[in-house]
Amino acid sequence: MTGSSYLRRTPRNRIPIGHRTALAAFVIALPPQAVFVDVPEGIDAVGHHTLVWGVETSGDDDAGNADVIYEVRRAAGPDFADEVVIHEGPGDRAFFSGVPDGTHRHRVRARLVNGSDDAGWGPWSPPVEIVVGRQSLAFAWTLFAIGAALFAAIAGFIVRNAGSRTA
Amino acid sequence: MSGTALAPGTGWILLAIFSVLWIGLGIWWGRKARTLEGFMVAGRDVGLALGTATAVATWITSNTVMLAPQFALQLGVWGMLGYSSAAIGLVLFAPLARRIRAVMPEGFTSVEFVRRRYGRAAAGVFLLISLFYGLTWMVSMGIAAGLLLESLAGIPYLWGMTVILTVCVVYTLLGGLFAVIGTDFIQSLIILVGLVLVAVAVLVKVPVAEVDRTIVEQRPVLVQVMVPAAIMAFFNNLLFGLGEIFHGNVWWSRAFAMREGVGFKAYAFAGLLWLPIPIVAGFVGLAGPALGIAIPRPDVAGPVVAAEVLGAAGGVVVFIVVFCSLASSIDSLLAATGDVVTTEIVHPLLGGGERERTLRRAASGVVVVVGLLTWTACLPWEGVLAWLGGEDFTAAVIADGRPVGTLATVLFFAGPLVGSAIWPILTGLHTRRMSGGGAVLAMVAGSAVGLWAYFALGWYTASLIGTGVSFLVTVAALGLARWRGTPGFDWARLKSGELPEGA
Repeated sequence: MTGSSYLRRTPRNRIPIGHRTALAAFVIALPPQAVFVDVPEGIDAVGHHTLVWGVETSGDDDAGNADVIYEVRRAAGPDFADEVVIHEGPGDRAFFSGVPDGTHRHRVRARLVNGSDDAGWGPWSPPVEIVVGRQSLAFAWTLFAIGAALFAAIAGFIVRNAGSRTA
Repeated sequence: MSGTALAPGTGWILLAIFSVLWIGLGIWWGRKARTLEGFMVAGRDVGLALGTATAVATWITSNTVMLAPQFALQLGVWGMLGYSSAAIGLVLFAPLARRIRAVMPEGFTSVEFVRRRYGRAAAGVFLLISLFYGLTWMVSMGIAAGLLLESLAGIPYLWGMTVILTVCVVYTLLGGLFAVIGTDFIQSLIILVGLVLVAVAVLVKVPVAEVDRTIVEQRPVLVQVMVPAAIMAFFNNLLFGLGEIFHGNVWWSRAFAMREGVGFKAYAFAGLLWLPIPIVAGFVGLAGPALGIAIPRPDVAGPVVAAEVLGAAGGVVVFIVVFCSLASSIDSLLAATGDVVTTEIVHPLLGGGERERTLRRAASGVVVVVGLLTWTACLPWEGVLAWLGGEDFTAAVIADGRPVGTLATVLFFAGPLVGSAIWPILTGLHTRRMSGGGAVLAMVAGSAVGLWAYFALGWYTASLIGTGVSFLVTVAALGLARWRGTPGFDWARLKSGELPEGA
């Protein structure tokens, strides 16, 4: 599977955030619930992927999410004891790279920062898992050696013929 | 779109200013492009300064502004160095440029060389590879244009992509290779100054040690040596770069256009000038995590980080650099692809022997058609299909539409095809015994196996495997020719400047 498989568009039926006035009333009652809306499937063979998240609301109007900040955390264990923050701030998607091999759990939470309407962090989303499993190093070095030999052959051929005047 | 470095109004004003500037220069240089030779090979009188600048500017494109940061962010230090190795392609092309000028002093295109050297069958395969690659590169550029203008100034993808393509088509149409090389000179100066400004600003804002600390903490694999995809990608990228340059009419047309004795120096200087640029651009991409910037797509990492660091005023710099980078490559591709279609397809279809004036007009028409094809391929088709299915146009195509896949995955699809052409070009230029049949087999087998690798193993293996298979076939073909005592090719057959006759 190539890296491109992980880059999908946000689905059209993504749950939109409600418009500001409706949202304010909503938020006072309940902080926003964040969810992942697009995560890679299968085994990630390259260790980089894009995650897309958003908030669930009851609103049916899309006014953008400029007032929402998110915190995304990643952990190796299912209890998130070793979690690290990998994103904090606005923006509903981010590209992550250099992820080590293994199973990685992610969760996200959201917070509205709209003046006095700040109701604090919402609950954590249901966790999602991404499995990173790179190709074999032996295979990679074999291809590297083939590439080096090919390049040496090309460069050697050009240099050897550089002074050719036959025409 | 919120959170962009520039307000959409500012973006549109900049777009308008540079559009008028490039088109104006196209009209100015168009005065010299009235003949076919003026339009296609700039009168064969390009000097060292313009020759070097046009090679550097053409090679600084989304490849450097967008793909180098993407490589650094995806593959780490390996990716950054691997990308920089594409400069080697320019340096190694220097002796080839001299050879090309010597064996075909009146040549026009790379496909013409293959036809004269190997015959029509090989030229047909090579033409398909050239057109596929040219269109793929142009489409990747159009996609880059739309994405960049959207991420920098909130200009909707469709409009940004359409305006840049249109501007490039118009000034290439008016000024031919004169306009392309002339604008390249100005664009290369703007790009180099802009990149230095961005790199200094990033270094002032975030020290190298801080970037390193964040990477080690959050993305540890990016600074490791033992990363399979990065190890595989290193020579894959290098060979892809060689294939792009050795086969591409973009580079051949410049070799034909440069004054005798200029090509070698111009390409060698251009390679050395280009070498550090991907490292600078890659570092800008790697600084993103240290600055706490969320990168929405890897192929916009560089511009997004630069705009964030420089703020609104700096956003203007980034916008201009991006516009110049894209335009300098799109115009070259339009001209080079247009030349190939004109000489190898349109001219024979017209029955050959047409008057130069007719062909000059045909060349202009071809540029428009190639531009239209590129624009069509750059459309956000998922959105277009939704619109055709009855959804609102704005919602379906403009506001929500973006192409699927990243620049790397789009561009590297052509990797095995151009990689498979390296050895037929080299042996065609320097050996008498390589046969047309051998060249066809090398290109077809290399492309087929390389494309298999693209899907089965990953894009970072396809060029390498395609080049390797082509090499094996080439060695076998040369061995067979020697064993059979095949007579050598007569180099004088390349000297004639005639265009192909009709079938």
